[in-house]
Amino acid sequence: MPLQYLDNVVVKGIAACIPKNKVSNLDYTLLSLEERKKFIKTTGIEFRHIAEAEQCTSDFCYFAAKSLIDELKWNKDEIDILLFVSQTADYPYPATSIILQDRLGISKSCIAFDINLGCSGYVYGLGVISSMISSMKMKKGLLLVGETASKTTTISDKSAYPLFGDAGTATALEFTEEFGRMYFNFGCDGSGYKAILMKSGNIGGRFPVTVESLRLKKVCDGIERNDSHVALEGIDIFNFSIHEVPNTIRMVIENNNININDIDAFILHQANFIINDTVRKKLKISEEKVPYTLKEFGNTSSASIPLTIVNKLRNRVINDKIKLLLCGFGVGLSWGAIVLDLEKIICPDLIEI
Amino acid sequence: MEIEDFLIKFTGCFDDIEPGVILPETEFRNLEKWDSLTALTLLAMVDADFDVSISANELRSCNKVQEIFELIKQKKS
Repeated sequence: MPLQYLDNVVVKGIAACIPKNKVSNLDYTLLSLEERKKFIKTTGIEFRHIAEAEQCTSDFCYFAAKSLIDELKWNKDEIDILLFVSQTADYPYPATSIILQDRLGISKSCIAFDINLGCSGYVYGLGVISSMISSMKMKKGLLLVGETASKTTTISDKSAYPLFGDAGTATALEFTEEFGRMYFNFGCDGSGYKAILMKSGNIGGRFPVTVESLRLKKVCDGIERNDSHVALEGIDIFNFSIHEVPNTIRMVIENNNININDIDAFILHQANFIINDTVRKKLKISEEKVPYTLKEFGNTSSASIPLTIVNKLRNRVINDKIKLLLCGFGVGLSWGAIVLDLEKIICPDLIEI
Repeated sequence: MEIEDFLIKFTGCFDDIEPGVILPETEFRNLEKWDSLTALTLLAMVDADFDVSISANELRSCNKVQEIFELIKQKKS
């Protein structure tokens, strides 16, 4: 069993940025009005903010990071590491984090790299960056996490299109001589890779992009997509989530002798209501401790955890000290949970561009 | 568990189907209101009420409500 906690890292701020363009699933005419209402009730997803064609994930992360650095009054030369976690990078290569180093005016001595993960990405990113800050005694680190998932689906796929919204986030971390302990549990199961799959994305992949791969194909009534659109297997995702998520949450708590009652809020990746509520019930956690932002933003992939903190817990994280359990899960399949304290952090108002 | 009990719970996965409409021999996929969201609601109910999970393949192999009931019973035993 590997070490499941680390010390000497503290979160100083979290910011989130979403597109101005807001759409309602009540207007999604591929479904009948009755089906739209049923969709909203079952998934919890009513509104979504959708990026314009020229807006990329890195743009939302950039504005979140800029506002965070300004409010923290950080000296940019002290940012030793910049991580970008996303599956919607600017280019297949180079890594978007490197482009963001220049765009944000961060020093050339900064370590920058990308991590390709989706819904589990925030907790993995937080684990990686905290571990590097802690072990390498870096001063400051910036974790940029986001997705423009709406671009990976198409309006003619009713099984995916109404689920996803777009967002970019920034989390600021610092080395601290004080305790600063975080607890982790991570896992993955590659046997389930087909449950959430974009089959074809670039020239060098297993299924290269070709004229044919980009042709829309009918899967069944209400599902027409090409090979560069995400394909979802709902039942497999549901079954995976309701088993692995309670499991990883129990592991991080039990392995570290944490009292579950000491946790002030459980921030689950915002997958959809029926998954998240089944998980909540299995863990017997009260509704007040599990905030949702599905109604307002839909599933924003790796951005959903920090976006939910900014949108639902802003006052508490600015004014108080609270203990949070964060749990991400999804594409991979991949999952992880973190327990950490947030105390009087900088948390700018939700940004819209 | 009795089939009557299961029928009530199965019917509860739909918004607006009267009790007594769905029978053990009902081929649930032919119900007008059946769709992929109902399938998830069913799986959530089965997990919560029977503590059993049904895979996509297992569900695919069932046509009648009775067959889901038997599958759950078999998994419980």
